[in-house]
Amino acid sequence: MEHQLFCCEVDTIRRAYQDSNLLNDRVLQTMLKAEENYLPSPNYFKCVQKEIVPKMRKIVATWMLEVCEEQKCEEEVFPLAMNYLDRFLSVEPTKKTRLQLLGATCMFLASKMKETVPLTAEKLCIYTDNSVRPGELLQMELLALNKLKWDLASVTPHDFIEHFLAKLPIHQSSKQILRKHAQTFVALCATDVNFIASPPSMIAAGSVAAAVQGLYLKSTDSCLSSQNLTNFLSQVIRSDPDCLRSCQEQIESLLESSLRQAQQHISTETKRVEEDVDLSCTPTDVRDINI
Amino acid sequence: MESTADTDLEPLKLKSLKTDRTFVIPHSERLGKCRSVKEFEKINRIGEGTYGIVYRARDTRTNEIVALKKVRMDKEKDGIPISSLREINLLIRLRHPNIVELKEVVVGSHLESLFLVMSYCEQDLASLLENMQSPFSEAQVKCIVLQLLKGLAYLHHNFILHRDLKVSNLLMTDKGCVKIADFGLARVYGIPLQPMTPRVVTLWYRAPELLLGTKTQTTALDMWAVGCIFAELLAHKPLLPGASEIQQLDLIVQLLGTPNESIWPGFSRLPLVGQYSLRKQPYNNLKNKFTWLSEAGLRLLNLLFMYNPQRRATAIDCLESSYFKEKPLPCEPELMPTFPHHRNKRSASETEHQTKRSKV
Repeated sequence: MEHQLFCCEVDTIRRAYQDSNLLNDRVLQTMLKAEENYLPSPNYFKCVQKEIVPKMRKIVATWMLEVCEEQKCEEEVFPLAMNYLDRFLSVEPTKKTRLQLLGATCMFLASKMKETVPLTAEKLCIYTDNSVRPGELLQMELLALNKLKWDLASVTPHDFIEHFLAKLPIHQSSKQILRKHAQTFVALCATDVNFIASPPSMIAAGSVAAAVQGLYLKSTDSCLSSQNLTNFLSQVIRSDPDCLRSCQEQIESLLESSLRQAQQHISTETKRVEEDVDLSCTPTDVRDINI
Repeated sequence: MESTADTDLEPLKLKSLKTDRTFVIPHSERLGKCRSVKEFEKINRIGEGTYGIVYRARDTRTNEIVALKKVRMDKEKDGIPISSLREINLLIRLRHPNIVELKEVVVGSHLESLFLVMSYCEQDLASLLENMQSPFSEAQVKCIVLQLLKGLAYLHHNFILHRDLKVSNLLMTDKGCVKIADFGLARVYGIPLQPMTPRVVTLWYRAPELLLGTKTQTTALDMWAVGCIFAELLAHKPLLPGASEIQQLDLIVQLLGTPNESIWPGFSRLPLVGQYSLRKQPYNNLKNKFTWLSEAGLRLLNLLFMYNPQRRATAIDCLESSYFKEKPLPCEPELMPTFPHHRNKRSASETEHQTKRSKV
């Protein structure tokens, strides 16, 4: 009889169930009050940074997102890491050669805050194509913590999504896919510099509204019609409905442009592979930053 | 860990989203508040618990006396331990008169050392109870318990469980202010394989649902511990000094009677119920134990010692208790007696050979 290999791996991460006590209005109001404390400066490229420009942030953000996806990190890790990155860059002038180190450090910290089994220093260094050494990462961790004043409990759009979903008249089966779509929009916003100044509650509301729109859930319930939903969510987050509408439109156009870019990227990648060009072994070539 | 900042930076201006006004970030603030432990002068060692060494020290910048707790990081290839990070992050935002304040986190000359700068309290209740000539008066007990309840109400309001309340984790300043300390820090620093003292992993304040293996931990855990502390202050000795989990349960049953499904729904389904055969004891003996305690006092104790966690008194309930409104009224914290600083005496003799004020 031949030897057979059995794969007995199972998902070993045990999750706590959603605590319904945390979905009450007192918590929501506290989060709305707290979120402003964690907003980065929207004009740090002009006021603080001498070398870093928005394009570089985009490149490092895309790399960070790919690492988080490949490592199957919790959904909040990436937006939280981007919040740390922006807050750091709001106060500390940084050389462009250290931007990837900073990105890795922010993922390292966000992962420790949100995951049961966080990313290791060693693994993150491998993702930088070993351009960052573990010792540097640990030094940078301490520097980042000091610049962030050790306050890592940033309010993120993810914290709001659950509150909004709990308030919407949507069937449980639809909620799952709606949550997934909204989370995708949140990640997309985190990669884009135009959303740096937007409060997490606004991004979350815009993402949920865009997801409802995209999934055509509005046809199932009049409460979910574009107008009604925007009015309802803007009341919940105590914001102007027009602001929320424009945020939603921005998110939708960001999705369109990123889909276009993805299409172009696929076609150029195909050409490059045909021409047998050497590809970087990191998910996105962050070495471009130094150009 | 030098800053990469240039000195000729333009002022950093931010716009408030709420008021739409622009405000300038002070230059001292813009680069964080990284301080070195070298800015603190060690005066003496005040304790060594599960977490490592605690020093009394002086902040040379402000001349303030603080407690410095060292977080061990020597074997960490992944930087700051995940538990430390989360706990520091929690503590740094808690601000209440009855909760010990984590002022800041400072670093040693190498990555291996990280220090928590805490507000300094002259006494801890455990060593006070050990060294006091005469017990606290009832007015003083009320004063201490009231402050404990206020701190706990704040924690619970913010969805935080202490989970390790005991007299050694209650500190007191010379002005009579009681502060809850070390919550979650058992996890931050990790319990050593051989506890320094038996009190480190004490069972005496552990709620029955925890002893019986409950999966859901609630604020009621802390309230049971409050009951134990309240009783210990009144009697001037621990109420339930069990040496093992089985003995701890037995002491609880002797005092409060045997629990059952009718008084504690879900009791029989607790994971470890089958492992213990509890003695049949139908009486609540609290009244016999505290014969001199008023009806309101006994009612409060009974509410804190409810077997059913869902019926156990909350911190807010206790603050409303008529016990604190009847005579003798709680004394004002400022009128609490002052006591000799035993920890400093002990530490001074331990460190006699050291220079009086060496750098940490």
